[in-house]
Amino acid sequence: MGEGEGLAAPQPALPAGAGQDVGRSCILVSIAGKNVMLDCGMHMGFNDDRRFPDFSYITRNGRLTDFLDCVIISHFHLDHCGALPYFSEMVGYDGPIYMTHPTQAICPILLEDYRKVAVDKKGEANFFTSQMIKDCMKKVVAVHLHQTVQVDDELEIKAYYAGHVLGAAMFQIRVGAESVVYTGDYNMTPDRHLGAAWIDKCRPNLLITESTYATTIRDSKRCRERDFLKKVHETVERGGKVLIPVFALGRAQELCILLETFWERMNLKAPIYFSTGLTEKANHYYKLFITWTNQKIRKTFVQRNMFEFKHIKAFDRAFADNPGPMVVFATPGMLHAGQSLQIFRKWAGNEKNMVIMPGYCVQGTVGHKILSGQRKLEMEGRQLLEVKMQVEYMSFSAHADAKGIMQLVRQAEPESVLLVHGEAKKMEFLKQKIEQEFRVTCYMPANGETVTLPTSPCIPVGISLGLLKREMVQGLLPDAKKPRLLHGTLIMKDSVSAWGVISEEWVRGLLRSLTCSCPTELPAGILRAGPQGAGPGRAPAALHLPRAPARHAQGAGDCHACLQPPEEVGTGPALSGPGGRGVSRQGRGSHHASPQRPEGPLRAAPSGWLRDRGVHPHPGCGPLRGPWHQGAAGLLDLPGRRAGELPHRPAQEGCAPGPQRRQLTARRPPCPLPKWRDLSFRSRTMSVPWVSLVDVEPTAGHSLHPWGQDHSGTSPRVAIFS
Amino acid sequence: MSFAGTYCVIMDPECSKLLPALCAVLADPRQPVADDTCLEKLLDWFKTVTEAGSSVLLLQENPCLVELLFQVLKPQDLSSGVLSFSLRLAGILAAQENCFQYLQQGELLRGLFGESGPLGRAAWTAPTVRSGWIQGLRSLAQHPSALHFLVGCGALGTIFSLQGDPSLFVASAAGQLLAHVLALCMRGQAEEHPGPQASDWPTCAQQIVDHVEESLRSADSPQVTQALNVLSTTFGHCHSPWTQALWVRLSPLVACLLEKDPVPAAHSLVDLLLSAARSPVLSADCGLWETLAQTLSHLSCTQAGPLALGVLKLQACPQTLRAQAFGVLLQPLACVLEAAAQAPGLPGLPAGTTGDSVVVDTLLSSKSACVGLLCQTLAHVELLQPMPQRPSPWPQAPLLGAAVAVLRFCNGSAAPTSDVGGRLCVILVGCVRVQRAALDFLGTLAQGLGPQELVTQVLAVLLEYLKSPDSSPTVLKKAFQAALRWLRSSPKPSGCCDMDPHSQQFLRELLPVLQKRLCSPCWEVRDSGLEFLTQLTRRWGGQAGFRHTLLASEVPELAEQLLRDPESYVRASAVNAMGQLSSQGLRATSASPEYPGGQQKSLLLDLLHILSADSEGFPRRAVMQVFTEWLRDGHAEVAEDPEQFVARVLQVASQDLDWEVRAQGLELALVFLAQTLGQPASYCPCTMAPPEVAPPGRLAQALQALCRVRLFEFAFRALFDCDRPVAQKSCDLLLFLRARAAPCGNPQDAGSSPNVASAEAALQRWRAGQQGQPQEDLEPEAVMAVLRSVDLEGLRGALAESSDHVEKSPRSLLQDMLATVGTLVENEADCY
Repeated sequence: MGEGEGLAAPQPALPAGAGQDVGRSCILVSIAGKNVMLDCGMHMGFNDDRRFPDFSYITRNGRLTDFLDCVIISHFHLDHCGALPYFSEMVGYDGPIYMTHPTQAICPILLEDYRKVAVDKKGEANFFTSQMIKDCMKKVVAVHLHQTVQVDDELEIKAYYAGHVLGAAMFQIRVGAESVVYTGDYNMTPDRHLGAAWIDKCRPNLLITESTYATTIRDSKRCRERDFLKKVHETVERGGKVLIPVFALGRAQELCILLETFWERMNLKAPIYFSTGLTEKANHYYKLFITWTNQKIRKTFVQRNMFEFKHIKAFDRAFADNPGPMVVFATPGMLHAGQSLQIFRKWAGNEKNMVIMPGYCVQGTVGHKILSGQRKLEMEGRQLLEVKMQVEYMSFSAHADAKGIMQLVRQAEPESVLLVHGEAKKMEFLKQKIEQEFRVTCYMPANGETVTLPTSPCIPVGISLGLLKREMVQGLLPDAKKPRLLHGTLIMKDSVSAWGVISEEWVRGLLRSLTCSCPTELPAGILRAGPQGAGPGRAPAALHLPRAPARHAQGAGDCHACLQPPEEVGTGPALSGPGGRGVSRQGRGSHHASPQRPEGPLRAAPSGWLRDRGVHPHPGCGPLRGPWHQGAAGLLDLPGRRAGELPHRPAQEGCAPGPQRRQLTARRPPCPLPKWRDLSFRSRTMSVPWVSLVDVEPTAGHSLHPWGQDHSGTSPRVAIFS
Repeated sequence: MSFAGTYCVIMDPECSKLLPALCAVLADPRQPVADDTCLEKLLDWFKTVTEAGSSVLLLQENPCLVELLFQVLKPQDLSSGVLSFSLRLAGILAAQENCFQYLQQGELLRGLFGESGPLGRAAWTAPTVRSGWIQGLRSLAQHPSALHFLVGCGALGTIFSLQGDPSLFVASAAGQLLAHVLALCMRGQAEEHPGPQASDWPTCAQQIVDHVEESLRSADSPQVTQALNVLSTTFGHCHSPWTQALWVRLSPLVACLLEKDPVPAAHSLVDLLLSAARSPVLSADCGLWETLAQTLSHLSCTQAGPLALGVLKLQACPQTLRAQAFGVLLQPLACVLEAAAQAPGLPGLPAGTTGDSVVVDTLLSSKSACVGLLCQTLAHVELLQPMPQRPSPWPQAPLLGAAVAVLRFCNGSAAPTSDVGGRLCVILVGCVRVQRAALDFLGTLAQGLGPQELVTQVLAVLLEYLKSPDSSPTVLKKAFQAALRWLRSSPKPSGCCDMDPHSQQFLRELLPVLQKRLCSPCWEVRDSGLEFLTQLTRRWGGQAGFRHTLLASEVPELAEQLLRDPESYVRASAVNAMGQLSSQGLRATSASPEYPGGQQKSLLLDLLHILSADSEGFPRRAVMQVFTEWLRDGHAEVAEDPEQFVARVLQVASQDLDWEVRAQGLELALVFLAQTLGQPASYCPCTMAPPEVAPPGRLAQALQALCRVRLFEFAFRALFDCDRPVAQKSCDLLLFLRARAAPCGNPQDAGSSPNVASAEAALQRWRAGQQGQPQEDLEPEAVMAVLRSVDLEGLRGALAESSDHVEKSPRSLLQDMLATVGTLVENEADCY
């Protein structure tokens, strides 16, 4: 049996939409007992119930709000967020919805557009209303890039820049040592207004990535742009009109920048229009979220706002009848209604004119028809419209191509990959490529298919600065190449998965040996649990050490955890890029800034290994006491506590109401104590089995780093401190 | 998408012409199919066509369909989408028994659904194909021949195995198919007097029941779940007498599940028991109630909650079981009440409902368990509260106490003396999830009253939440909503239309909080505050106590400032709030003697400014709604000169880029029209009789007024608006006017006047989508003449069709699919 096998912590992932399919992205992930919905999109190809994911498969588990811990929206495109008001206001999800600030700002505009077309133009009933969109948006919690947000005590999420459209983000979801990264749509190459997607070497258990261009190596963007400009220019030169149907925000701005620059360079005079006030709206959002654009735009923003166009003016319906050449960006992008369709009708009969479709069109729309070469279109009232104008298709979508996807996998170093948002055949090709190149398992579930991953998470261990300093004072500076023993205390949370594989007798024996004053009973579920699970929705994982260092056996009574810093120690990726890197402490409500962690995971001994060696509390250290609740760090510094002594439990056990807690925290002096307050002790008061000292030693070839000098954002489940 | 009921329920010749080419494309593995949505829509259409007529005839007239199905039998590399489509199509066609026989002549169905079909090929690994196979059989299984076929081709075994399919969709469909087949089997000979012994039942049914029995005995929990799901579907959908025999046969096995620890597949077991309890055939079975009672006591408190709720929702159920269920449901709240140990004099929960130690253990085992159980319980009791069959007497007071206690635990203001209370404090403090659930629950409890002492506590805790800087925006919103419900429920003092003293006191304390919340940096909070203010004003704006308290605060002033909020949602809510305040004479400055009336005008101007200048649609739409309401209710400022008001508003609204604002402008025009003509504005040309005709003199005056406000220009231009709802509304408005003014004037008389020519010219331009005004002002006679010349009924009929009806037609679908052939590679799948 390989390492960790049989001790699996299943991480089911279920695409309810976007499995081997483009459109209606909706993926359910269950990670260490937490259930997260990734995106909540709609399918534009349907006008009935099928446009939304079938949520009944979730509601079978009871109320949605009770089942789901949160919903995460990757970006504002409707195939990723179009079902959100339906889901929250009509199906009844009442929990938090996370998205970035730009997505929060732009999402309601697109939803409103969609509602207006669906309900009012097509006369559809039983659809969400404006009020529902607003109520839904009130449930949104906006996040900053690289800000680690605590959804609850155990579940945390972190956003990374994804390019693609303004505000698009990839999300890392982490519960303890287990993590999943969901990319949403992303672009690994920068374009004229957005940067490239970026993620750190976060080594998730699972990377869920889009695979729209799973088999495509995209041609040069420059060629595509040149082709576009040439066509527009030629049409305008011969006196024709160019219609570019677009969605309100997104690719439209990229094309506007392209045309604006070209017009300026060529000194062209033909007017360019952008329809219905969207120019101002777009400008507003791009100004507001300038940090989300690429470096060039940010740099030049002070001198000139790239989104305030000199040549592009607001369009009025009357302009469509003006003689002479012009270029018009009009919504909607599929020519299925509204202004773009109205202009198309006017201009279609003239062969001098041109329509350029820069995006995907669903079946049934005029856009789809002309793209597939139909030249005689039946319009309403049995009118026949002959299309004589030129029809061009140019893909300007900002998805990663096959190379980009591989690059992201390389960057994140996941244990396994799951492909979504693509076509099955293409996915199959990419799956093989990923498996060959990275030697990781790659999955490509269809909609409704569940993938369950075995995980063998390591439990990272942090060392406090105090402990390191003390060790240094006591002896010589640690030789980086020589193993060395450190004395510390191992604290285990109630949900530390190790208990699942430790025999009940052993645990009871351990607990008997403790003199802890706080309740030491383990949760019943954990004691009962076998390898398959420890209580509803939670499964144990292994306290796992890939290379158990038997050579470090110590004398009787010593317990060991082999500290094995990873190879990237001290070489973590530089934190730079759009939006500013680093751990943001901004948040709202219950969000906490990212807990900082040591320079990489240190691995504790496997349970079997510990058991074989008869682990028990270190005789030299007293028992741990204290109500370890949220914000309990302050209690460490209660007056009267000797240096190095662990906090004592106050008289009223387990009861530390808010005001008292704040008072204690306020008294905490600035000290070099480890910044572990947000880590292992949050609200675990009642069921924490305190395990006493464990000796720790650095592995040869690596040095230990004090707590808090790393920014990679992992939340250790086990802390070692003096 | 459904084509039912509108058109093309029969195969029209044009579609028939296109079908062979399409079938050829589908059968050709070298031709990629456009996308799966097209195939889905195609199936929808075939379903509609076969439901309306003979499938055999369809196949005879379109032999390409059978050819396509035969092509699928050939071992070739067809896409999984096309394979799935073909299986489903075959099922739809074979749903008619004669068509089933027709297809079986060539052993086509056995080839498609038997071992030699996709089942035995590599394509079977695609969930789409398995799903198509199941759905095909589901459509097909409608007649006895289908049953023989299912047994004969060994499909049952495959269906059994598909119950455990990795695709939830396939697994679920397999379970439903089994339930459907079982019901179909039993519909025949054995229906009337089936014995519980398997030997009495048809073979197919026997096989299914044996499989279910075996699964129920299994130690494998997923297999038990599958069996329970099949039974739930069966008892849920079929209420024939044979289901009783089935229950008699299987209930001992179900009861055996309860002996296991933990109870396997508890969710599905609960579903099954409730499904059985709802069945009129089984509800007389005493054994069922006993099983329910046992289950309630065996399941963990989290699992028992849904069952208890389900039992309490039953129309008929033994009283003891109801009492037990209610006790189980309330246990977590009883624990909370005990833990809070507050107000010892209050009545407790019903007898038998005490804080069970197991429940206490669950609550204290971990934060997630505690939060989950409390949220579930609060939601369940909230659902039960408004039901007519809720338990009686309803323990309103203890429930109120529990809700208050939970909220106090959550905000840290509880001071429990018990150990459990202390632990709950630590677990729940700051827990937004429980706060939301408890506030919703508290709001629902406002439907019933409680002892004054408790109501005071409720209001106090709501105030705490509204005041607390730690309250999240969602919690605040719920606190506002709960507060509103409690204020609404407060009893009116006898002989007085004002609020009761407690509510007034609450309001006095609340308004400074609201004032603070209107200045919140979170738009969500400002918006919720404004929505609350609007509701308050609408409900109590006419009452002296409220007016006095509100005007003494800075709330109206702040609300007015929010008209310039950076967030459009907030501006829209501020418009609504100010509209309401102004209607009730509650604007801050109206009470001020130094601004007699002058400031009131400025709100009108402010709103007009928003209407003409706001960059977002929400505030502009809100302004139009307020203006319409003002005009309808005779708001003082509007009543001064309604014509001028309407003229200004219509002028701005007609230029708006948001069609909803234009549509709202027509609504306002309709109100004005009705007022001018002295008619109610509720006329709907399609449902009601025409309104009374106005006297000629009055009509002429009214028409003059309508011309002065340029209502006709707005309405005629809107008639040809590119946005359908605007055109529809305009059509309704003009039909109303024409019906009202029917006998007035003679079109022939007015036809030659130069004004008519000008009006008609303008109409032509608007019809062509051009802008601009008529050369001369429109005059009533000319307008009426033009009005009579327009085919408004025809236009209304055309507009009634959805704007994409052409795109949705089957012909369009077939054309699109054919046209896409060959262009797919060129136009790579792009995304939105």
